[in-house]
Amino acid sequence: MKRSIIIFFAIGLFFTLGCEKLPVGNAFLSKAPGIDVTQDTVFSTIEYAERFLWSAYRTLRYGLNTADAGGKDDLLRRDYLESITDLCQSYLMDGGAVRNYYNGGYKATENGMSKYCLTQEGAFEGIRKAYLFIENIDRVPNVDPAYVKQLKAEALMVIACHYHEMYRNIGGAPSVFHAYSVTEIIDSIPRMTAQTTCDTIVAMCDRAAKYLPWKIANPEEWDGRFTKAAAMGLKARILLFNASPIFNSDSPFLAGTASTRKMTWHGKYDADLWKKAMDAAHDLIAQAEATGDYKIYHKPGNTYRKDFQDAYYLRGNGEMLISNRHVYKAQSSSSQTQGYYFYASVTWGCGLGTQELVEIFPMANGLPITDPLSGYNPNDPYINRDPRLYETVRVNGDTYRGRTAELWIGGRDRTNRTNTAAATGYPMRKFILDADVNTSYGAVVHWPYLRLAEIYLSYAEASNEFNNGPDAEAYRCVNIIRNRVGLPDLPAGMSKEQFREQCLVERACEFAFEEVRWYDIIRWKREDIFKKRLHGCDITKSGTTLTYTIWELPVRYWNTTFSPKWYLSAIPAGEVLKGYGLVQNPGWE
Amino acid sequence: MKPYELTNINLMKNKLKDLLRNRINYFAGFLLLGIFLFPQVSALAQERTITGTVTGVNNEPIVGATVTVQGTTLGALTGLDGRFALSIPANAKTLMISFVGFDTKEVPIGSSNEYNVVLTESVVGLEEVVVIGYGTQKKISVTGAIVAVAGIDLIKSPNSGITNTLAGRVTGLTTVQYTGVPGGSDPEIYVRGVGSLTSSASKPLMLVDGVQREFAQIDPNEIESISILKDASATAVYGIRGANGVIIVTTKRGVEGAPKISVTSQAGFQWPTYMFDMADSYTYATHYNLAQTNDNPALLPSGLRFSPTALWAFKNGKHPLVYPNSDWTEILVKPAAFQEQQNINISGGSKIVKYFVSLGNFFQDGAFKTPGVNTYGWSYMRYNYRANVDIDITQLTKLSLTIGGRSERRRAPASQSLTGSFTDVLYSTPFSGTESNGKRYWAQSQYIPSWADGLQAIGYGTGYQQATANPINLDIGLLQKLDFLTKGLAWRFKVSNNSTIRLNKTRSTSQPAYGAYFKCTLDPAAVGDSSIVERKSGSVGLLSYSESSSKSRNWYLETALSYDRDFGPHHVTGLLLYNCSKNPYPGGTYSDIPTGYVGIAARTTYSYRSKYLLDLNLGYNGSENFAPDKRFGFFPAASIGWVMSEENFLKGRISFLDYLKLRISYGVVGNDDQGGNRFLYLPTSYSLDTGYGANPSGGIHGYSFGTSTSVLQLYATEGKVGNPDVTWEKARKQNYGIDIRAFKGLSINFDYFYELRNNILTTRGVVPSLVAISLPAVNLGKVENHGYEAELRWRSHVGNVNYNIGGNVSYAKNKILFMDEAPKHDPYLVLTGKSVGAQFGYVFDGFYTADDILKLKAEPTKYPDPGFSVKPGDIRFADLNGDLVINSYDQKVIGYPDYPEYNFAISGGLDYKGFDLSFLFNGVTNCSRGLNSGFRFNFGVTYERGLMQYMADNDWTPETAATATWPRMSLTSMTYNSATCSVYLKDATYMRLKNLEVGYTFQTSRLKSMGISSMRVFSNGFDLLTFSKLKMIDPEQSGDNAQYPLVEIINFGININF
Repeated sequence: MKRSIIIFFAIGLFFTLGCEKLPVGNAFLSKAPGIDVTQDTVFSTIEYAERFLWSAYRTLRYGLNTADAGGKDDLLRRDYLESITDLCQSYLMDGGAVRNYYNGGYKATENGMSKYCLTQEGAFEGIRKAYLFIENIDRVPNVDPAYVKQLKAEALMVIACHYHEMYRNIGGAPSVFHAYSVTEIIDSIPRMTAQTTCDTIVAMCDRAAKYLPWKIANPEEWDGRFTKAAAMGLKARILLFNASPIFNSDSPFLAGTASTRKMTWHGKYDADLWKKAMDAAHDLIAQAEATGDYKIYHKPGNTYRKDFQDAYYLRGNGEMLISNRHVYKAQSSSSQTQGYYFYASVTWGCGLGTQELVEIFPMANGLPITDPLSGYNPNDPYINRDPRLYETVRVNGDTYRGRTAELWIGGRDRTNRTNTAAATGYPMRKFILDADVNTSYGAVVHWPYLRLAEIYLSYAEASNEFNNGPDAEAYRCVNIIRNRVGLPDLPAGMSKEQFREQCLVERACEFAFEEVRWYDIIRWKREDIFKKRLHGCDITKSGTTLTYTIWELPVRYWNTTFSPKWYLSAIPAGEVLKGYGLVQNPGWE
Repeated sequence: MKPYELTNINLMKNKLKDLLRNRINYFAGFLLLGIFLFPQVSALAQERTITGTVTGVNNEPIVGATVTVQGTTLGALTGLDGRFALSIPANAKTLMISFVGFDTKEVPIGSSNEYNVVLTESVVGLEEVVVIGYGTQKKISVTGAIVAVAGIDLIKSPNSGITNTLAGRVTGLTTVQYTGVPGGSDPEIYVRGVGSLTSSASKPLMLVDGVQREFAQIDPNEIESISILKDASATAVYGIRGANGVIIVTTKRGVEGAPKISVTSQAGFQWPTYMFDMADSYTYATHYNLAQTNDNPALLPSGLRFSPTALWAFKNGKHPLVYPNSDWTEILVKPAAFQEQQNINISGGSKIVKYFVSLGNFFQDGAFKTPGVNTYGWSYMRYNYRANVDIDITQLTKLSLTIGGRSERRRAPASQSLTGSFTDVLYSTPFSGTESNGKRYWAQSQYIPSWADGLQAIGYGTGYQQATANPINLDIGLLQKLDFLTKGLAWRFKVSNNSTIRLNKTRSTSQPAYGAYFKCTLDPAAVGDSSIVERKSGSVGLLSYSESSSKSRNWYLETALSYDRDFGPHHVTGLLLYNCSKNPYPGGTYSDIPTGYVGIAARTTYSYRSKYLLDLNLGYNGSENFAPDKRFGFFPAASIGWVMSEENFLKGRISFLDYLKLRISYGVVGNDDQGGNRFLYLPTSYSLDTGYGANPSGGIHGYSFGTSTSVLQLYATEGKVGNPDVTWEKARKQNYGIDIRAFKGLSINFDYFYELRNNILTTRGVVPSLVAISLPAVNLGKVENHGYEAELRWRSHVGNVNYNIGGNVSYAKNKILFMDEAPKHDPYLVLTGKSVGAQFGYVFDGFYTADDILKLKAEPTKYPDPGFSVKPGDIRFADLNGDLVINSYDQKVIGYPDYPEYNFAISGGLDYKGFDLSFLFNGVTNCSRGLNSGFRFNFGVTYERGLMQYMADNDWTPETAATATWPRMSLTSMTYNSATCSVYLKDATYMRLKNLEVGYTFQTSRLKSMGISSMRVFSNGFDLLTFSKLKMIDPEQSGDNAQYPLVEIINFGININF
């Protein structure tokens, strides 16, 4: 017993002394000093604040899928927007084109693999980042006020770009004009009318243009940041869309609440909208030509093909107005490594050109292949064509990886007919190039979001509409683009309709795979193009004779069951149901 | 035989009791005097020695029974043969013989010196003790909902993880075993179902010897018992972590006596309970071609994926190297895999030191054939060790040392994950390759499309990975009786340290593969020559080597004052405990900040004549997951019990009633699980990227400005928005129970519970997504959960045959009361009011017939528009809201959750003269499995994976339209047909023969002469029979992906006790 007590006290003493360092109660739980970064940290120095802006830049649209975090691969789930136009057919079986569009499966309630889902494209994420930046940048000490204004203008351009995407995909956009706080009671975020949305974007572009530099001073390091030219270019693009018949018409493309409330229609036709589009494009063209800082890319000594390739592929080429960048270089292999997926997805059957794509390109003499004088030979269809054809899809007999492309069935590039990498007969070439280390793997890449070439063609198109026919300047603007690849000038005396069609053809040839075609089709409400059955081409080789067989691609849902509702995306039904003011687009209610 | 040692017990406690009986206010000095008096008292009284044997039923000697002289402190324990010897004073009148589980017997002392006593098994188990939170309690005085499993029951099951063994053995416990991977087959485990908003936030707290530890891989031979604490009164002492129930594993400790050595060795075979059935090449190819023609009837034969030549070859088994037809499950899966298990343990002790030491090993081979050289399939090996030592430093001070741990090794093919899946087998197509003469062949695209083959997928000959780990748990405990301060008071202290080092190594290599060609393909001159030419590609690579390691460590400390005393008919106990724990290596987002818990637990119980029982339990604890002023919560619970059978109006009047107790409890417990998040109260965090920016090949967040600079710009982003008010879930629990013992062999237990949980962390559902904030977690979810548990058992004997039979059923059903759900288009779309995890989808309304489609086209306003160009054989979804459009508004709850609502079991056993048999059937119902991925999509999600035989057997064709249960073969309509729908939701009700054991115990004098006290041979099995309506997968497995199959085991063993 005595020992017991002694031991007891000894142990008691041990713990009294030994546990002195053991905190008790709340002190025990105190969180150790962490390395938390708060908003104050971010906006304490300009270096950190800039990083926040760069993260807003990163939300910008990137058309080649990178399979990175942040939902960028949600868009059509690794497919290309071109796959749902008449220019392309996709064989990517689990991509959004096959799963959601060809079969008509897309619905307001099921938009996970759609071309544009309001809540998934990083739009509001980017808008929030940009507003947070604008609202907080003034807190950063010791920054040149002019630079702050420039940064704010860049943030505004991020917002404008997202609104522009919303506008051309869903029409009138929800009015989010600040960064919400979590405690805010948010019971109303109504949709603006289509016209207000456009005006808002234009106002943003105008305001940004005031503070942005006309061009980047040291492009080696900073090319890709927004410039005044970028702001003017985006304005021209949005105004062209705004003037187009989808909204600018005497009747809505489809009746519905959103149309009644002018969210997907302006209420009447207003020819003046074409003038605005024309003027905006002209302002930029005039300033570009006056300064010589931006021009249709051409490098002495280049072939036509090389010029065209560099025009969309090369960073800082003087033609690029907005260029988005998630990565510096593409990966050095075709595997889906480290977030650059698109080489891989092409072998899975993305971006296969249709016969229609191939046929839209004129001959090298500038005449469309339908012209009896063009010299087009259906039994040798790929010779003497517009050089852009060869840079857009891989055609049989062209050079490929230092050899000749063998796209006949059994040839090296199409070992069997069902090979997904060449299922229509025309694998993608644009961006992919030769898909080898000599050309594209490991090359410096970017996404050509807006090129000066588009502004020229937009001017021509708007002016043709406003002036009821092409004038000399409209011709000049189209011819500049044609001449770059060696095509001759357009014949004089085209009617308004002919010239309009020519503009669309020119845009298809110039911007295939650059996300222009889809918006051209819907701007002009081209039901006929939606309904058109598309084709692939089989080449069979017997001895040295090649036989070309044109065959019908599988029927698309809207070939037979068309509705104008397809022009715009649906708003996610779940969001509409939350009841804060989103009105569903016509046809998707 | 050595004469056995005589042991007198001076039961210190009783001595003090005698001394202090009339001197409650005794002071310490007097106590000391008392100590000096002891020996004299004992010495004076001795006069003669009596001996005897204590036996139970069948004359089995009872080892360790206590024999005391009534009215004195004299006593002895029986030895291995049940013998005792005791010196008694001349005036001794009665012997008291007691043993746990038996009724205490009083024997009058006569003139004889030899007493043979037969004890009868106690009906009520008066002395039976159960482990409760921070202590033990006599079963009879338990008022909460607590069940326990004895370690002896766990040994009966030969499977590797003891968590699976628990299934069906106790009420209120749900296990769902998704995988059977060696060493990793731990099931999801729930106590009384799911009470939070997700099943992952409803996991119970698991403790080993009172400290939070994982226990799945503990050797069952080391386990004394497992207690499952279910209601608030049982778990309130765990406060903030008590809401999901608590499972406590208690390891064995030594008892005084000669060393007892037990050696067990067993070995057995295991094989998958179910192996999925894949279509062969011919079936695959015809169905694939059928899918293509279904999609496009105009398709030319040249457009078909499989040529007539390939079909002919598949059908007739021609040129198997060129046109393989591989059954991957047969090629890759063994008919049976070996397993073995050994254990040796020694226990015993003197008055001063008691010990239990155990060493065990377990090896479980994987179900895969060893795929090629340099490769191991999955396997698991572990060595378990344990040394639990108790030392009575003084008569009042006890030191306990608990050392337990294991050293384990897991292996898997290098290209696969250690946790194992069969997904790659599911993805493999039968024609894509084969194995012949030890060589791997793959199909050539000249003949057939080559897709994933099983050998490549499983990492054929491409090396292995090996993960070893050595968890070591060390506890030091000290118990100091403080009877000298006031009687019944004790102080205890315990500190534990748990650490693990994990070492992984991977050795990978490459293997050549062979392509088989017809000669005519390669040589244009050899027209029509179909002899096979082989071409080798790749070569045997060197075994590469890479390694990685990780460690973890945490500690726990507790100190407590306890009190236990009788005041006449009043029995009072008390506990006041302080504990804290730290995990310095928590991993996760804040891996630099240790996790910690600190708290106080208190309990007081009162009983009057073991008739009226009252328990008050209290937890007061905090977790740093919450804001400093919101950390500590107070969790009280109260329970009462009434042993009605002790009342005079029942006692003796209803002759068959042995025991009847009513229990009621109510309390509040908490759950601080935040789905792996921590510090949600902190202000909105931002992150400044420092890691990816410099990576020129494309970081996750950087941005690449410039034309020629490869450096990506760093980024800064807004993180999760904080909620300073975040707090724990609060569960209010009620429990009503009744325990009945009757007819000297019938036992009935019934518990009803009701739980209302609020403050469940979830994110608001009605906030516009346009806000684009990573929404903070808010405490606003509300879930109710209720159910019952019933158990019935009959124990008796017919002659020498003892038998028992019984069954139990547990039911738990929850309902979401609030989850801030966004408004829904139709009332049935609302999840509030449904069960947590209830499965949701379209309702199958038959398959479209050609006639339907004509009608649809003719009168589109009369039939629901599927929004898809349907063809005959596509699924017709029910238009639930009648708006003539099929969209996601036409979905509703179509099945039960993944975890079952009902669990039931039937078990029993018998023994006769050394022969014994026991069995356990376990079943569940109200449980659904959704078929997904490869189990749902024909040819898999990418249309180039395996085809399940049931798809090929049941697909819709015009001929099978009446009986088809599966949509038509199609590639283009798969997105449409594969929408989650009642076609793919299967009833996962099952009944299993979970456990069966037969054994025979030899107890011959011949063995005894060899020093062996008993020897038992036995055979047992696990998951031997499965009855289920679900035929496509094992009913417990996940339908999402092909997990490693569950295994059934047949096992043989021998146990020798020395």
